Amino acid sequence: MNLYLFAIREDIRQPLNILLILLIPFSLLFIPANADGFPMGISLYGLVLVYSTFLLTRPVVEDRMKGIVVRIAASPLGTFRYLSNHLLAYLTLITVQIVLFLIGSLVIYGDAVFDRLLIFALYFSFSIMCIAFSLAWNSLFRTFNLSFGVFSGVASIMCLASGISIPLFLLPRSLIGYIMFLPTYWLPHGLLAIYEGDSAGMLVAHAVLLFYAVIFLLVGSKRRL
Amino acid sequence: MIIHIENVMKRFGNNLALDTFSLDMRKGEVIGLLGPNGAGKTTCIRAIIGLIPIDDGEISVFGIHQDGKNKEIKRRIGYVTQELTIYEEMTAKENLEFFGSLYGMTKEQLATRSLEVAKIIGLEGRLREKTKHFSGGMKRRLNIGCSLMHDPELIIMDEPTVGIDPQSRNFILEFVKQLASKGTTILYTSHYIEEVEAVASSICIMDQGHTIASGTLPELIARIKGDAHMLIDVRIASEEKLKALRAIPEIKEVALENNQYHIIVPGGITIIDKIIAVLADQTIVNINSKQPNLEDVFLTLTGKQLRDEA
Repeated sequence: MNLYLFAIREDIRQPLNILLILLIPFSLLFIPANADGFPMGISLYGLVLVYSTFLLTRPVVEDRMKGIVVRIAASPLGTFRYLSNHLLAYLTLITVQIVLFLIGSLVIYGDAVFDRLLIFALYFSFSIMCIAFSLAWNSLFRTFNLSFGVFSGVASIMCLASGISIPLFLLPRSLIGYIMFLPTYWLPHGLLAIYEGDSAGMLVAHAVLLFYAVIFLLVGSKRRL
Repeated sequence: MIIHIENVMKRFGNNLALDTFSLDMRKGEVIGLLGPNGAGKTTCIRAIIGLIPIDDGEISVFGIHQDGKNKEIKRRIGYVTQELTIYEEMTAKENLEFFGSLYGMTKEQLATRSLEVAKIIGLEGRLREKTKHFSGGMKRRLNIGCSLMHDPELIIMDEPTVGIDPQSRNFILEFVKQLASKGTTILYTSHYIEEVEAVASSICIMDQGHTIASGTLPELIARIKGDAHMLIDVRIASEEKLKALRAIPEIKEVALENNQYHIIVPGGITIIDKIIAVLADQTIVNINSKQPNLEDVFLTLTGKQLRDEA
């Protein structure tokens, strides 16, 4: 069986994943529009992405826990191909979710398609960072439940502090200097740049998100067997 | 030579996991690797497969230098992990096919081979069932089966019978013997001495990262120069007879406890007639002799009881 397809199948076997991918994001579209930016649902969707990617990476953690990764490493396939196929599968699933969410937002808000393409690109970079972050985060824990428990608290605080859960302009300006070190900050920053037509701001957001992704991927894939 | 390990060193921080460890394994051999927890068995296995780099020494597998990157070596090894490394949400057939696919087998090969392997491991009627419904023994058998899909030349089994019932253990041991009889080379580690005695043609005892002793079972027993132990129970023992027994020059030691004479004779029991003659006028209730076994070899060489470590 193709490992990439296997990873997708493994994920969509989980009812919670189907719920996360197909249903929860759409509820965000019914949050009222924001006068000073995109509708709040567009930013809040970042929170869904953080949790969705975390839950989608669960099989990699469980394979580590059960020792299946050791068996895979002992095969000619090796851990690099195993990991890359799995991460690519998660990125595919999350891309499907992003596309469905943006189609939904077009239907409900009826905004310009051009903006949606830019938002799609930003969500895509953010998802890569989130998948890498989940991989790195999970490498610190021995069980998924403990990992998820701690992650829930940390992710909620990160999203709150970095302008995903509440609009960025509501945060004190003095805080921005600090929260820009949070990887989650760069989604609302990028969304604001898209809204204001600030191309440089958009590029910086993409660059920082991908930089974080590389760091997290290196940390997450270095864990000993 | 299938495996050649020479003076291998491996450190994890301050812990020396392998300390000038050496081992040679020929085609068709079944080597039992015995050692207490922390002896370095799993480190040794992982170094052979190329999962961990070594600090010093040389490992070659199938005559190829093991640097951890050689896919050819991995393609020819079947690794049975100590943990149950199967997918519980998948059926037995899906598991077999998935792990077979890691070795580049085609769809047709997977379909044919999964049926063959299912027959070997006695799960031919359960292929379509999800493994989460299997008993511990069935899961163990499937765990082994997944390593057999690509028909490996060398099978490395890391404690393959941990946590299963005696019936399933016997099934697995019989099945290992069958594989061995077909000429498959097997490296078998276990805490259970009787398992190693049952399946291995040669035994390697390791402790603290190095080989303590290796050879066939009779060779290892000969190494501890087995003093024969005789236990003779009489109705009423006496100090006088004890002195008489001690006077027999061939007897190394005699102890008396609870009307039982414990007589140690170096090199085997050859003087039973002399002993019986001394004790003739006492009512002998029972005579037992105790020959050293692998457990005694292990205890003598490592000073540890293997089973207690399990």
